[in-house]
Parts: sequence; C-alpha cells; structure tokens
Amino acid sequence: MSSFFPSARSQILFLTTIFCLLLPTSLWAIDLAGNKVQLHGFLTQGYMESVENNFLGDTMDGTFRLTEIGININAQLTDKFRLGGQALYCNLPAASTDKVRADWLVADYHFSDPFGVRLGKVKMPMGLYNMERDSDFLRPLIFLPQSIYDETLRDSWQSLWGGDMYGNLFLSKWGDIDYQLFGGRIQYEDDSLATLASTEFVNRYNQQYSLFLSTEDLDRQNNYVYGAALFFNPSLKGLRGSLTLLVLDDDSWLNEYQVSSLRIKSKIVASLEYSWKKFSFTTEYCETDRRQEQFHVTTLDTPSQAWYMLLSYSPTQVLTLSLLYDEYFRLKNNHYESTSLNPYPWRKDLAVSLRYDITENWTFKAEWHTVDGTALYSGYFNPQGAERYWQYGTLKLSFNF
Amino acid sequence: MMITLNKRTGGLILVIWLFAVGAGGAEPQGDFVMVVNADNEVTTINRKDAELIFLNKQRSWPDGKNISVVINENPKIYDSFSHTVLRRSSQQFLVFRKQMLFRGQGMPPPTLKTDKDVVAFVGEHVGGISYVSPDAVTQAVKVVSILQ
Repeated sequence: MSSFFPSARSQILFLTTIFCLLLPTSLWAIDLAGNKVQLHGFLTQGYMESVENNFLGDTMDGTFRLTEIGININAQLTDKFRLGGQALYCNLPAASTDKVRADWLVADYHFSDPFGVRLGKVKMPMGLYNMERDSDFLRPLIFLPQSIYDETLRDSWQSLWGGDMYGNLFLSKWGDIDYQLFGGRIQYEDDSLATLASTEFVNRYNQQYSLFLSTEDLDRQNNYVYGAALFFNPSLKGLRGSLTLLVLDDDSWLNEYQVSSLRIKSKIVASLEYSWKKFSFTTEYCETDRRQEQFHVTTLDTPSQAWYMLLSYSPTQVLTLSLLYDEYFRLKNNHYESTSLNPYPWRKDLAVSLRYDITENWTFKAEWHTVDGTALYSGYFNPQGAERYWQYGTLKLSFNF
Repeated sequence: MMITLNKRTGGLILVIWLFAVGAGGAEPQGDFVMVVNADNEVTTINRKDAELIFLNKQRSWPDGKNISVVINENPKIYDSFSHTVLRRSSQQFLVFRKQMLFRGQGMPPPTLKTDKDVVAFVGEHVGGISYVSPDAVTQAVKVVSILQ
C-alpha cells in the first residue's frame, strides 16, 4: 500500500472516494436550483507493465500507479454566465503526481451562438483529444497515440491560464464549424517532467564539463502560448475534421541565469475522423517546428514529424476493438539520424486495444503496445540505456458520474 | 474428422466474422415527434437546427428566448431520435455530452426517463424543446415538423 499511495493524503483521498462510490448512485445526481448547479466526477484505476524498457517510470516490474480522481462543479448563474471548475488528483508513473490541482477553472460568458469568452484556466485544444486527456472514459485508448499526445507533457500542456474565445458558425448546407482562439501561459510545476528534463540536461552538462551547478532552484517558465483550433462538422454523416495551431515559448532558469529555452514556432495538427456503421477511422498528422537553445547555443532548429491511424470496430454499442499504428520522428528531414544520446530517435507503435462500457458509468479498457524506437524521453526513464524494441500493456477501470 | 486451425487462419476467420456481423448494423426505428412549449411561435424546425440545439451549439430561439433542452431517455425513441436528428448513435451522443462537461465547456442538458416527465418539463419552460412518443402529446406542448 505504501508504494501504491506514497502519502497519507493520497490514501485518505482514495479511501474517501471509494466510500463515496459505494453510496447509492442516486445521491450523485446532484442537481441544485433546478439544474442550475451540477456536481460530477470520475475515478480511474489502472495497472501497467512494460517489457525491455521502462515507460513513464518504473514499469518493468508492473505498477498500480495509474490513478486519477476528478471532481467538477458547474453553476449556470444566468442564461449566459457560467462558473465552473474541476479538481484533479493524479498518481501516475510520470511526474507531477500525487497532488490535487486545478484541471480547469472557468468563468464563461456566452454572448451569442457564434461568440463566447472563457477566462481562467481553460483546456488547450490540440488535435482531437488533448482537451479530454484527463478523462480516460472519453477516449478510445488508455494511452493516446504518443507521437502527438506525448504523455510526458500531459500534466503541463492540457490547460493554460488565460482564456479563449469560442463559438459555432453555421455554414448552411456545408455543415458547421466550432472555433477556439486561445492565449495565456502554461504553468510548469517543479516536478513536471518538462522541468525535470531541464534538470537532467544541466546534470549532464555538469558531468560533461566537471561542473557543480545545483539544480535545486531550477525553474521552467512559459512566457506565452497562443493558438487557434477549428473543428469541422460537415454535412456528410459521420465525418469530422479539425485543424489546430499553437505557438509557445519556454525558458529554464537557474537562479538568475537562463540555461535553456524552447520556442515552438508552430505546432500544427490536422485531424480527420470518419464513422461508418460500426467502424470508425481516425488519423492525425502533426509537425512541430521548434528551436532549442542550451546555454545560449542552438542545439536543435528543425521540425519533428508525427502521424497515426486508428481503426476501431464496435460489434455492439458497448464493445470497441481498436488497432493503432503510430509514428514519431524527432527530425522530419532525417528520420533515422542517431544522436550521441539516442541511437534510435524515432518511435513506431503498433497497438491493439479493447474498450468495454459495462454501464453508462463504468468502463473497462485493455491494450498492448509494441514499440520500435526510443524517442520521447525513453532515455530519461532508462538511464542504463534503452532497448530499441520494447512493449507495454495496460488495464484500466473507470467510473464517472 | 478433427479440424485444426493454425493461429493465423483462426485470427483471419475471427476478423472476417467480426466484420460480417458488424457491417450489417441497421439503424433503429421508433416513432417520435419533436415538441416545443405550446406558446412557442415556431411550427417547423430544420434537422440541422435541431442537431445544433441538442448539441448545445444553438441556445436561443429566433425571438431571442433562451432554449431549454431536455433529453428524453425513453428507450423506445432515444436511439431513433439520436440517429435521425443527431446522426450519431445514442452512445456517441452520451460521449459528446460528457466531453462538454469534463472539458469544462458547458453543462449538458438535463435528462428525463419518461415521456410524461418530458412533456411536463417542456410545458413548464417557455423555451422548452424535446421529443416524445406521438401518443404522449398533450395541450401543454406543440408538435413541430422536422424539415430535412
């Protein structure tokens, strides 16, 4: 139990939630003031094990550190004005775990159907799934395609402090478009993996040049992030598409000294989803043009490339089987160029998954991934050296109300 | 005679069977009518407008009144409404409402289980709209035609 829940607070939180879930479900239909106030939430628990390499933590021996608990409340104060927020607790193999944080916290004013404004901590759109990454039961897979939805950035990139403008535009016979324009700042926690990656780089520099720079006070800051998202809902039944763009600028500071910076000049994700009868096909393509500096020396100034395709089949309304093929290349223009730190800087993932919606509130998922390549922080989790070919599997049970 | 299959052949047969069973999915049929509050001046509604209303993307009537949607989960008509008007399965509609909620983008409309409760809700809300079985209609609500 102690390794599963590293702190007393997490044990109390977990046990309280279990107790609450055992109460009659009717208690959870909490609608106050004639549906003007609603309380909802979710709890997920998973198990993960990997072969040959660790994935997101110490997973080769198996781990139950795959817990998420979320509680949200919404108050529709007037026809146009809403306040809402969601608290999220995560205990995951990666960083920023075992703490409760604000997942989203918004004041939302809906001026008209084509125009509304949300201020506070808002979900950041990126591709089809970034906004629902914390809600396992809303997506087909436990781990979304890592080429685009890199799990190590999930804790940082799922929302931003700032705001967005949103609305729906009706295009007559062509269908309709939902749009979002967003801007603000990302908050990097001290134990986020993005921050720890900067720490690891300084430690490597220490080792290389026999320096003694302390990383205790290392601080990763986001200067700005902004972007736009368009979600197309054409008249053709079953078809959906989206296009998202974001620009981002980060610095890492050691006391008063800037040790590294990352500027994402553009991250573009184009997405397409088509459902036909009991089949669903989803594909997304992403290019990230970025420049990275370390101690004011440019170490990377070229785009990465990622794409995946996901075929799902639902023989019944409650059962979905999926097949995923996912590719990521650190360098778009040279897919297989090795670096001194990573001889296999790509990631090709072939996965099968099962999703079973036991009831409207309970979902069970299982999946198995076979991976070629060690891009996306495999080196960080495998300091002894990562194997080129590796696998991981996950089981997960989710409850939501 | 014992028939033996290797893993590849067995897997292929399983895949073909699943596709054969799955491709023949017929859309559910069930009579329903769209109803609004009896005082609403609307007499017809485009299917696309109805879709946008139930997906929370269109929130006011042409006269500016706020729209009050209620989801009717009566199993006899729920699937049929979802396929005909929203052009998605009731499961996909449920996921859509949960997405709206857990992304922090809005509050999904209330749900009721019976035609009787739905008719009462629409009758009490001047901007009310929903769908019910044809024999559940009372004077408190007005049937509007759906234009494709």
